[in-house]
Amino acid sequence: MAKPCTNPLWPCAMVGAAAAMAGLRGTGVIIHGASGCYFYADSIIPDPVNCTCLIEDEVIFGTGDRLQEVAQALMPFSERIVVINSCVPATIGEDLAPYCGGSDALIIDAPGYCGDMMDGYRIALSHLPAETDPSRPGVNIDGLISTDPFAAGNLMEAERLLGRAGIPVAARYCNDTLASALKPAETTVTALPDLASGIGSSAGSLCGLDAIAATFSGLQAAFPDADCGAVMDICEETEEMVTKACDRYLRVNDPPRVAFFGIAGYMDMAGDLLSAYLDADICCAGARNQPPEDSVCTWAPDLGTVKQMIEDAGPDLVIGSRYEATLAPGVPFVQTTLPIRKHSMLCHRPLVGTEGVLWLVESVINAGKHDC
Amino acid sequence: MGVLSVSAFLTDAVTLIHGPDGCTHINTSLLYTTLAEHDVFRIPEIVSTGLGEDEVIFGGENALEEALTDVCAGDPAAVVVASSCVSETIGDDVAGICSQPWDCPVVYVPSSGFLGGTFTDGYTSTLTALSSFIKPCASGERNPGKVNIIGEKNLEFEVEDNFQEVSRILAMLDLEVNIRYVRDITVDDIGKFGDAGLNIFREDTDGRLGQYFDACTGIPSLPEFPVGLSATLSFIRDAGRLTGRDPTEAVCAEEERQAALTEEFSDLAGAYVTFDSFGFQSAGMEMFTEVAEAVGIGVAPEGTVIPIPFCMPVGTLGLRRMLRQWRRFING
Repeated sequence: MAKPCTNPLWPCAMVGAAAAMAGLRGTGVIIHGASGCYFYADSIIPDPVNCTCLIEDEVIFGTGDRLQEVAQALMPFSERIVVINSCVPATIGEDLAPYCGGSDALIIDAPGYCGDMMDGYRIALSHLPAETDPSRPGVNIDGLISTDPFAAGNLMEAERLLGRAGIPVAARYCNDTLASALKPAETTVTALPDLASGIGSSAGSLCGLDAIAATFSGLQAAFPDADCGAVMDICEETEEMVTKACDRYLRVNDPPRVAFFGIAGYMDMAGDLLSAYLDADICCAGARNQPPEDSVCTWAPDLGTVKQMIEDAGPDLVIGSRYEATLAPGVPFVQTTLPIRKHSMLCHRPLVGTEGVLWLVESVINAGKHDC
Repeated sequence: MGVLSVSAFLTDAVTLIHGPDGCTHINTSLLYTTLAEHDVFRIPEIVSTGLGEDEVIFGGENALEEALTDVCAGDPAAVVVASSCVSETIGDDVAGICSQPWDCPVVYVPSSGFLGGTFTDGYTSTLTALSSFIKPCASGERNPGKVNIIGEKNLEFEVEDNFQEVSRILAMLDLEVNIRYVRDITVDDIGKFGDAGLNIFREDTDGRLGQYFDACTGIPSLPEFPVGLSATLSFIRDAGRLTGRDPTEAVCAEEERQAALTEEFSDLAGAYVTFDSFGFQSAGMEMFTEVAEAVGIGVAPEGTVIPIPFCMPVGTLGLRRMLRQWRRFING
């Protein structure tokens, strides 16, 4: 049932579905809807997306011809047309298949009212006719969504760790060619657990040191020729560095009182890490997406909830987005979540893998330091 | 977004969007980004009725009533309700629900996304809808020394600069700003609208706003901020005429300022420029040609390409900023 909410903070399902499909090179992604929906999606999806830019006439007389026009224009450049159906055409309920330029288009119903960005990502992947290929070597990486500012860094980090173990990378969801994504290997490691694709057999996630160790331990059994010990060594070195840095921090600082806001998987990882090594007090943790039952987070998808949580908790460190930074002026801040306004993030930082752990701890320790 | 570009600047009101959360998120995000670009770190309160699949199938009127009850319980000075593509498609009677008695004033602005027109339509509709808060002049007599500034483009980068420039020009005629309708004011402030002796619109090119506010308040008006050399002088003369002030001194002072401006850019005399509208700007070229001639710059197709600004430069200060940009293009 509908529930009023003040300043919703997370994009809708349409954006997640479009981001997922646009990340597969060879697709011609069409957002079937209004220019307003498209402009926003285009502003946060780094890959090309297109739009039918529906207007009132088409809503009254049918949207098919407009879709046909856009699909035909895209076909010379696309292996497969993907139509992301938005709120109004999904409500009208037209059969869109005959209007996709005669091609075998993938039509994904992802109206904004059916869920949030993460739901849209999963809906899109559930429509992708991917069939595991037993002859394809290596493991797939999933849990990558281009709207996540850490997605590119996460992919690089996942590839690095798998490379150190000597395990080839197969399909990458969703940052790959369409052909590769349609023929994945049988095993998948997940960068961000909130976005597990369900494609292939899951070997675990790379979010946090314990998860990395467990995942590569499992991979060693599945890939006897791999050298997962090399990754275990990296985990140990990382832990030593984190321990040393955090101990040094705690010699002259009290443990931080931290408020977390963002994607549940990242926040759970950060909560575990900062509790274990910095003795941090997790005074509140709000997830943009619906958190799993064992999460440290409660669901906080709107600014009204976030504002109340920050006011009640009085943190001395905030991990989140520019919204939280605005709500807690002067409180040391680490940016891990959209939107990243007023700041530029150009290099590909990971939040998963051992480098993700190091970046997060480094950022927390350095937050609020202004001296040279 | 047109609605929010006005309603979000009513500081003690709440905007309620009757649609899915995603639509409200889009607007919140774009508005926040734009404000942050202006170094304004404020997040306007925008509430969503959170329509989901159930409401799309069974109707969303209950959700709107529930949201209005919730929002009114917070005792805002007013609630501005905007409809969305989805609520218009499923046919909710938003106007009917908003017209019921509520614990605080509720203003409905039809704004159904791509079903209901453009950004400008939403902006215009909101400015006119909020006029319901205008009260008759408290003293019974308008103050000819006070001016309302109407319909500032809250999302344009130069909004404060433009306001300062118009305020400077008005001050030369001993005129002061009454209210900025609607930029960072309260609902109560709107009540003072009728005290002014002159309305100045930011840009009322089609005359819709002028017609409406002339009819509902009877206050004389000027249709737009001054753009160009001669237009700035005309603006001063017109403002003086409509407020019963002699503009001669102010016009002379501004002419001197403009002469100093052309002197400041005399190093550009003899250069040639051409103007590029990128195929979508509808601005007339006369103002640019006038400025070029005043400085001694020739206009010819082979000249340096000068992009036409998205928002026209306001007053003499705006022209100075524009000429600095021309200098960078010509010398660059």
